Amino acid sequence: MLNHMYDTSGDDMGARVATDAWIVWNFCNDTAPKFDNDELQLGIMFPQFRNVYRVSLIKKNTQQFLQCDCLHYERYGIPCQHILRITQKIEDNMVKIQHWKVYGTHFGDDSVLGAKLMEARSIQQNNESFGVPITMALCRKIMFPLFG
Amino acid sequence: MGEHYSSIHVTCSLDLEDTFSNPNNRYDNDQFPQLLGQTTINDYNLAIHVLEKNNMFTVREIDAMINNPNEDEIDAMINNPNEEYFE
Repeated sequence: MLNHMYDTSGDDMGARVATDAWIVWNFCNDTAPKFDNDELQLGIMFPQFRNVYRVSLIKKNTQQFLQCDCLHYERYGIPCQHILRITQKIEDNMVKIQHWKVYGTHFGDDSVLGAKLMEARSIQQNNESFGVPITMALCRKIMFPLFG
Repeated sequence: MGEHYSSIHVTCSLDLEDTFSNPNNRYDNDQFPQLLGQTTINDYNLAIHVLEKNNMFTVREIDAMINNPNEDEIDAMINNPNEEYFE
């Protein structure tokens, strides 16, 4: 799913509208729902909307986050394609820790890794409302794309 | 088409500042917008228009705006949803 979103994010259009704000949209993608045996032509009648999403850069202490209107990250724990359109890169910390392979095997055990996972999840929960965490290097890259 | 969207852009860009959650956002007309990739200024102006209207346009309305950017006709289409546009 993440790979697919990364691949399709290149089709989206976008613009930076302020120092720490972007808008991303795609008015060309086919969003028509598919129904089996659609005798009533519900696929055509179904209302579909074209959305423009806003992505904001939020800074908290020394951490940076990208927050998108679509709230995909808040629902699924992986960044949306609107954020990927801006970052054009996927970093490990952009995916919620619950999706990491080591989470299922080491979370809650007595190992050092287990303790670190618990600590990381606690930090993640504290920052959950801010959006997708990004590193300082990636932040610099999107803020100054010509020099990134 | 260009004149139509530029007038929208002027009115919308002023209102847009309030729609962002971060109060520290500032608009610098000398620097922004910065268009990403293949995005054109017409695409951007249409997107700003859609955003200004809180994403209320359907796929058909957007397609109509892209293919026939006539403000009167679009208004008629929105105000008369049961007319020929939706048949």
